[in-house]
Amino acid sequence: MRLLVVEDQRKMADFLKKGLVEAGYSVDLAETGAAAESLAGENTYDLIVLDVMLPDQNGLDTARHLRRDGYRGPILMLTALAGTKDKVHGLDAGADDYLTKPFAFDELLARVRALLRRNTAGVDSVLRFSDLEMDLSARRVTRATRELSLTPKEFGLLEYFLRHPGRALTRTEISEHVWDVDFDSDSNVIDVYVNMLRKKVDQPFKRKLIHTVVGAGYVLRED
Amino acid sequence: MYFEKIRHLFKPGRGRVWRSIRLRITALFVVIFGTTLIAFSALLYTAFIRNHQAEFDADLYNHALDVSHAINIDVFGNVAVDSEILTSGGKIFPFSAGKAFLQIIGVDGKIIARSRTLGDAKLPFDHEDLLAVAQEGLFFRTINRKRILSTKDGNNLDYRLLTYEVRDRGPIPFILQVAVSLALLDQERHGLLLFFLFGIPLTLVIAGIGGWYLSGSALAPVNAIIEKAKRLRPENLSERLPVPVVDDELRQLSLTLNELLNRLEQAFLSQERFIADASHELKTPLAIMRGELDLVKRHPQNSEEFAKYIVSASQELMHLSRMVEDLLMLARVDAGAGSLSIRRTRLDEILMEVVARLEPRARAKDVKLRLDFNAESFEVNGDTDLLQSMFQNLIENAVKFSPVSSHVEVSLTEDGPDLVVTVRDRGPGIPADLQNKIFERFYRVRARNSETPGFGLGLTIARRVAEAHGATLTLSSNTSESGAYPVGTSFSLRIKKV
Repeated sequence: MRLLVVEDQRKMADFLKKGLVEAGYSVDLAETGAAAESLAGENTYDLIVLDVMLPDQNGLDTARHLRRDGYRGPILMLTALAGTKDKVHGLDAGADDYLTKPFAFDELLARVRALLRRNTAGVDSVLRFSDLEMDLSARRVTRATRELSLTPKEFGLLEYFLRHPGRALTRTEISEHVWDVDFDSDSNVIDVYVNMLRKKVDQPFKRKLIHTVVGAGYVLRED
Repeated sequence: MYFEKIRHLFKPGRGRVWRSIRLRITALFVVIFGTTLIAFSALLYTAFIRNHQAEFDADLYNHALDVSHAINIDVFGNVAVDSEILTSGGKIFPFSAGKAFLQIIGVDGKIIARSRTLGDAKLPFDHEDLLAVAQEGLFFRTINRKRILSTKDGNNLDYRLLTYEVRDRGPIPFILQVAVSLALLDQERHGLLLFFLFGIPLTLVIAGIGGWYLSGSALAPVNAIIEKAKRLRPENLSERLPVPVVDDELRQLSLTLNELLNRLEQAFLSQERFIADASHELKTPLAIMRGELDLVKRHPQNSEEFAKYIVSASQELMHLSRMVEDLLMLARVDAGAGSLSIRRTRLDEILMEVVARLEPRARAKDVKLRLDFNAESFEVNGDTDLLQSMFQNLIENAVKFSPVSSHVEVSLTEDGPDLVVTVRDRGPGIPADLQNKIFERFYRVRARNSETPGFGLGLTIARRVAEAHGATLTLSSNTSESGAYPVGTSFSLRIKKV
């Protein structure tokens, strides 16, 4: 795996390279946006780590130029700006993920791994159940050709159901899988949350897909 | 053109002179007063002239009456004038007999006799006059001297002519014409005009000076306020503007401005305090790291000390990072609505995310985070990042101050058009006198155990985030068992549903 790190601050660039090389990647460094563009033209990179503040141009422009010049791999942006607006701008410019400084190096490695995995996940990433269809790469869900608007968490929950059709999923399983935590057993949040999802997935349709299993949890099945 | 120029002068902000309110008030006063005075004088003048004309005519009539008494015409048309009657007793006042013109005309219109003063000249009398006098008995007319005397002596005065039919003097009625100079009346008229001509400007000058001083004294407090305000600087912001004694608009202005100064001073002071606190909070970890690093550098081979330093430095760094993040977030909220990215967001997801993030820390203390959601819809308009950070602060605080093996309740309920999030802990509670203070920047409730990390920005951020969303964040806390509620603290956020 070959990565390109675009960062003008020497110390930052050095430890990024060191850490990434230790993690088994081969790393090239570019200090300016122009250098990054020409390197990306010469070599093939699996991922580009791009700082938003560069001496010669805005990192957002660099991302746009890279996309224009045909780079299709993931771009991970680094920035000190933490606002949602900044993130939106970055994502609009063609970045795939966003990390704010200062960050823990482990988090950077995790994001890099996730982005590389996503890139190699393949084209055929569609889950289907009954008339429900989930396109994992486009992050789209349709039921009977009608598009459902889900939040990212709801998407994750529905994906979990789709990957285990016909199996009763306990509240603990759901909460651990989707939120990485086991909400207190006295809490009703999982029920409330699943009901919100049902409103979107089942309520407008005659045939219900998500069912309550009394004493156990929830199951995705056709009647 | 000229009018334009004057308008130009009066236009506020143009023509430096007219920028003074005092001058404008004075000028306006003089203009209004002058117009009134001139109109009044004109009215007075016409009334006076009319009155005098009437008086003059009455005098002339009396004079004619006197003259008629002195005239005797016998049946043969011989005229005899008893000059004694004319000169005795000053009856003929105010007209001197020597200057008046007299003419006696028969009822047939023929001139019977004329006074010597006329010489060869005649007083004008025609057929129409004859008819008029026959009908009305007498009438007055003003004529120019030229119509009587053709002499060119430059005397251009008007004469008042009375034509009067005398019926009861002797056997034959006759018509008496008396003409006297109007000089007297003209003199009075001139005198009056002259009086107005000099009197009015003089009055206006006096009024102008009076107005100038009056407006000056009325505006004196304003100037005092201006002078004082000019001298106010950040260094002497504790000083206040002079407050006029009289309870009027200027006093209100002064009081209002002073209130504004109070708020400014407060903002200034809190800003200063903030800078002092922030530099303390930022510099302390830096000083610690630097000091420890110096020690490590002195004994580079001591690996145990080195390992300890690494742990300590990364702790301080975490502290610094969070501190900087908090400060920036606070600055962002303080910058106002423009820097927020408001969109539809789900409160239940935000709360679950925050709870999931804080779960490990709570578990370490054996504190249970109990969620209870009950609403039809959880959507609000808000900045997801800021709301998340607000709830993180609130729930983190709740965990921090919770006793070991207790629980923190996080509820999300509907109340009319609002969603209400309540975070309740079973901690020691916050004394009533501190309940407002804890929202201040860098205020820390003195914790018994020194392990409570944080720098007193969390609640400030929480409240400012709530305000920025048009939401309200309230606190209720109970420190003793005696009340109706158990000991503990609860924060409630009330925010409008979408």
